[in-house]
Amino acid sequence: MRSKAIKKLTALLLAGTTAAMAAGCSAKPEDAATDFGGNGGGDGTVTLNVINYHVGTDYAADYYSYLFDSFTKTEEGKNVRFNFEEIPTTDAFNQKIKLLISSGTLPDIVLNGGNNIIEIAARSGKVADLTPYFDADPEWKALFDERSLEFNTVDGKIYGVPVSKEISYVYYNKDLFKKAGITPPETAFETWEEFFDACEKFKAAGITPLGMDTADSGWLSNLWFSALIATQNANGEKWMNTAYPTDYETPEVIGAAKKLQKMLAEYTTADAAGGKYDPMATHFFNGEVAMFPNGPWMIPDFKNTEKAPEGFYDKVGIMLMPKYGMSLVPTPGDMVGASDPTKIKAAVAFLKYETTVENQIKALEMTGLQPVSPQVIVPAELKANDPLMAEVLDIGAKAKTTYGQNQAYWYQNVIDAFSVILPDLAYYNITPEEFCAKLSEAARKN
Amino acid sequence: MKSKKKRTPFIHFLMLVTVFISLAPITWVFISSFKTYSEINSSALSLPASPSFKNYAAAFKYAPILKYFLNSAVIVGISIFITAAIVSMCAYVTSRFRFKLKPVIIALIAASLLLPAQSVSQPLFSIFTALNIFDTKIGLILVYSAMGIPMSFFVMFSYYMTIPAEIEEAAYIDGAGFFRTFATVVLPLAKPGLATTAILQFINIWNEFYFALILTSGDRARTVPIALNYYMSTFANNYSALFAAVILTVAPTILFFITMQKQVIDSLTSGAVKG
Repeated sequence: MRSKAIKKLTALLLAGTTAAMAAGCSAKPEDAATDFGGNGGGDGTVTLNVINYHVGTDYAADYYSYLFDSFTKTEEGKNVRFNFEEIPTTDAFNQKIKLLISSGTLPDIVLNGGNNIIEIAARSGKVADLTPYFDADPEWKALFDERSLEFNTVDGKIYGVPVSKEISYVYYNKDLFKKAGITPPETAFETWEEFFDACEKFKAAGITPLGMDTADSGWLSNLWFSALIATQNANGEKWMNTAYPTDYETPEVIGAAKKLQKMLAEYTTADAAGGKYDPMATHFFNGEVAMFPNGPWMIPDFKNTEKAPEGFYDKVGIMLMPKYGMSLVPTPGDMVGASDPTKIKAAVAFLKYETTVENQIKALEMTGLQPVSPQVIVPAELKANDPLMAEVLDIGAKAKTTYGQNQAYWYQNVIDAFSVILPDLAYYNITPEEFCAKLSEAARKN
Repeated sequence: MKSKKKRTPFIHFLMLVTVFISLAPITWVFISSFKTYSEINSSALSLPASPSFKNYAAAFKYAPILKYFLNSAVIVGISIFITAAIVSMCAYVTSRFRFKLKPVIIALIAASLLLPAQSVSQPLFSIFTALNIFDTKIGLILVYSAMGIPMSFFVMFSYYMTIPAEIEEAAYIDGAGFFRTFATVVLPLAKPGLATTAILQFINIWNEFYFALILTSGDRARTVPIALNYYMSTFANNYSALFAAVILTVAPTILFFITMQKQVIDSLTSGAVKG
């Protein structure tokens, strides 16, 4: 009898605990708003949902924190509140944003996560056409060059507001050039032959000439590869400025693959094949490689003593790719996912604020993001504080060939294939022709 | 006697190798958690030049790891319990009895093993939003419990097949009913199988990233794998803080096992039939 009562009591307790846990697990606090697409608040405030990937160790985390915060202190933003969902890393962000596009539940402001999703978003009909807002504010529209706006246009309608330009070139270690007895070119090596002669001299002096990698997207190798293709001739330049190419078996691409194979096999560190960006960057910081391709976002790292030795900033010089090449890509812009007119208006106000001349300079100062507007004049004080950044801004004007790079222009599966088969190219397991054929094969699957 | 003596050093050697394989990764992460970014990238196997707890402070700065750790513990614990409860009964019936739709049920469970997570993400997202369980722990618990069923089912199915049916027959002869036979005779004998499913479930759920990402939007239900992403970003990985965060999230589990290992081993080795 007693045992039965205990059993009943235990069963009741178990059921109660389970119910309490279920209720506790599913309960939402009152401030938890996951209301994508609702209306503005009745008290005049508008709450905008934003998925923010500039969090954690992201290079622009501090800048975006400043940007959102300072907007709410402006006249246009004083009634705007932000409801953030944090998603660390652009990979995770891009995964989620694609799901939200297909489910039609986009946040009110869709930040650009690197991948070009403008076309998918525009064709889904879930993002606002911003053309009327640009037309209504000619001063704002005039901030952008035609190419940047065109990059964010689908079927004649502008869907994205470009916030920066992506450029890349070559950093070099002045001490290592001196040690190898090589005078660094003022702007760029005149030819690739001169560049390879310098590589031979570095090798003879016991210095590894180049920083390269293959893992993730093979970012560093891709920068060399893009330059090799674009600076060969007019066809190469045209090919590198074509979005989503499917034929990689052109003479220019195959020629570039041959040189890339040589660079991977002879002129880079032993851990490049299979290696990720970070250890390769550390080789450069530690003065173990002479030349390292990358963009301006790397400059703050030269002063970061956690990463580079004290005084490293002063040892770094900047040059264009051989034959005066430079990767210059308009970026996919930020979009508006709101459907309510009040929210659209508030979101556009934020995007206008994000692209003011002052904030473009602030972004340059805090993150190295290159101003998208040709109208931006960088203050002399900033140039004096950061001479390398000033050099970047100056050297860009000397480029004779500008071109896109694969993360912006290639299909994602081709970028993945490039990274996967690069080690085979480095170890001569495949020929440059086979390498290019595999890239074509991947591209044609799209 | 002589051959036993000869075998002992070999067994000791094998044990040493096993211990090394088990401990080396976590030891490496632990040592690296005291190194600087530059030291980690320059030489993976070197010792830290000047060890400090700076990385642990950074780990707390970038992400709410303790909150995410507690979320993981609750979600993983309840999911394992639900999966084990369902699978222990389902696998018992399907392994012991013949009934009409048995092959169909087994085939359906096997087929669900082949479903990629991405293919169900869109419907799950819509259902969760409609049921108002988006961004809740219970949502993730439901998904993880369901996800664990197919693999756990086959582990338990195979395990029940190894238990002699005569033991159950003896219980029936002694007057035990179906449920009592299952609960007091079969289930205790199946503890090692249940432990295997629990461990496999634990590993799968603890490391699961995709559903934790798409079915949540805030701190109240997000789990450890998402927290670890806070230390990774293009051109700005902070491996030092990442390793410190890994240690902080793994240490409680290891400590729990060390303090509770006697009870865990006892529970696995005790059965219904006493020797």
